[in-house]
Amino acid sequence: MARADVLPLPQRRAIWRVMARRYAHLPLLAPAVAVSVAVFWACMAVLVVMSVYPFLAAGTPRFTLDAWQRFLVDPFYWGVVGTTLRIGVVVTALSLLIGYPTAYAMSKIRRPGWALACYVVLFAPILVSVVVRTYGWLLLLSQTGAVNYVLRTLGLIGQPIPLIFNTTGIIIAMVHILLPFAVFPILSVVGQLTSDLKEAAMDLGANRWQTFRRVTLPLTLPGVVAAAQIVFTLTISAFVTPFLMGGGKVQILSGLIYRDMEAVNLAFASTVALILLALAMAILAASNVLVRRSYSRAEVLRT
Amino acid sequence: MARRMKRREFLAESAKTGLGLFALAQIGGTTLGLAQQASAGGTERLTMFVWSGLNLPVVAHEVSKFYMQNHPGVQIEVLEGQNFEVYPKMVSARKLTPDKPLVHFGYSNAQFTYQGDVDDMWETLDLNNVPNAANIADAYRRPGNKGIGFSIAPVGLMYNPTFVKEPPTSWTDMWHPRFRGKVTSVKYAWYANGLVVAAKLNGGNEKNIDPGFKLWSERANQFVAFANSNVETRDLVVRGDAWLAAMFGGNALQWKQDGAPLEFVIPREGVIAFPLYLIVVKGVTPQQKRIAEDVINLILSERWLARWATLTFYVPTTKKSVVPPSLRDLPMYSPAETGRAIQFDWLTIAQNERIWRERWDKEVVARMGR
Repeated sequence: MARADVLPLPQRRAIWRVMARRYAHLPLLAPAVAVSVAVFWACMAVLVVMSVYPFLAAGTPRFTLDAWQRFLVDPFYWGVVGTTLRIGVVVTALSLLIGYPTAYAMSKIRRPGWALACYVVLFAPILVSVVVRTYGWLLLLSQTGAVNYVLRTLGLIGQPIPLIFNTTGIIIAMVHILLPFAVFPILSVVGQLTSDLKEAAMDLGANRWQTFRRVTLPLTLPGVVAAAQIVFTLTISAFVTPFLMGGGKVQILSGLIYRDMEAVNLAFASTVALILLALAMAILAASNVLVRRSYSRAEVLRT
Repeated sequence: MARRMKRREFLAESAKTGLGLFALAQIGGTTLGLAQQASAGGTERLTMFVWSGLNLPVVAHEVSKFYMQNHPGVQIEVLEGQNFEVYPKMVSARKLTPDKPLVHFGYSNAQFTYQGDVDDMWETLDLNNVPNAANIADAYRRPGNKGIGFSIAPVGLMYNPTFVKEPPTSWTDMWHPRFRGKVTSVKYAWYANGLVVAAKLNGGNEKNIDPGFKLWSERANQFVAFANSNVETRDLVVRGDAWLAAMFGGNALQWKQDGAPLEFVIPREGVIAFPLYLIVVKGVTPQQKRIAEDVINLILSERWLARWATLTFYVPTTKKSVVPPSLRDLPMYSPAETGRAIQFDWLTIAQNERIWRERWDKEVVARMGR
């Protein structure tokens, strides 16, 4: 006897068709999800375990929160968090300040040859190893480097200015290295802007600054936010450039991870790695919330 | 002519690509795994670690090639790197796959050899299988024969004569005001960053390290920057960002030979003796251990130790000199110099490694000017 809740065959087929159409994209996601789970989240799970079950030379590892406690109660490590975040914020701000006008100008270039030249100049450094680029900056900015040489030759300075082995050096090199990551997301949004809205704003009496602030910037905000998030996360997790340019003097979270990995203090290194991840995720989430709220407020004002 | 791909075709192609990638990953995994397999197809495979850079890996390659020519059933892969980057991986491998060590045997510096004692990483050598160990000075035998010292890398002071007109003469020059802001070192290399030697020259020692930390916390600005490797240290001194660094004499002399503007001096207190060891890693099979001991025995032979000294300028630890005549005039090789070398208590250093790293960051690095 047929059950009452079983649909007739044609209807079932129709539902299957709808379901198949709706979820047809899922297999496409599978490789990315598999890689993400296998490489990233599985590693994160291992880090969590390692942070609470430190390796012992002899005996069975036992559960302990020592590494977490050591980090969380020590003001020194909060200072390191502060330095890491400060560098991240400054590099992000400078990258946006330089990257936004650059992207805007590039979107206005009509000649294909010029546009190509701009792309090459801006993005070619990505093709070079970060170590090589950082060494380039070391040569340029060192006390005997080109910048100090020119400044001294021009009589602008008596003694070489310390441009490396400090936060300044890290920021200069990081902005250069990450600038393409700021320009590209902004460029992709700015390139889609049409002149209609700007012309309408100016017809209604807005000056150039008001047009930029009330029309162009809000429309390009998604690109700016994406750029900021990419640059910020890459900055706070960078190791090679901050170590070389900071001369091991500027203490940041990635440096702590390296220090304790070398000393096979895997529990503490894992703890710091997880705290770095948590910080990045929290800041990304907060920036998303802020952007959503600002859009909501703009919607309210408009209505 | 371009043709639009149907969804079904796209999915099929994606699935094929995925399968292809999976197959590639499997092949890659298998290839990597080969290095760790105890034996495959009748061939005994071992991985030997050796330091990279300069001429340091040459003897390892030559000896392993020589051994394989005479033992066709043995495959020795020479893994080049630095102890500080490979050792943590060796420890992780021991934790995760205790019977498949990442490295089966090889070279290890004093710092990581004693760290390995703390982490219970080394096998006991059967000296009956290493008859050439009898030529090694007693001071370089290890407790329980967990490895054997085959050479020392004397550490002295390296400076750039372009900037330093009056050469340094003492370890105390590292914290002398004339080198303020001009000293560099590998960050946590206790043989080079002056911590232990400062403690020893100021009434302390490895077990009482506070005088060293006190001195460096007050003189933190002697350092212009820290390096991450010997090569980076060299670059800092060659560029003139730093003028002075503690460095292995062998490295400094090789760089000088290559034309770098560097000089090396032995401080009046003597060089720091940095012993180098050959070790076998726990987790090897008895057959692998026997092969490792055979190779270690070869490395300890007069022929290969003389070759090592010629290539590296490091000093073999043999009872009778195997140093070629061309090197015997170098001060580093004089028995008197080796005899008065400053010896560190590496076991105490290994036991305090994590604490000292944290203290160095908090008490010295944090006080350096930005």
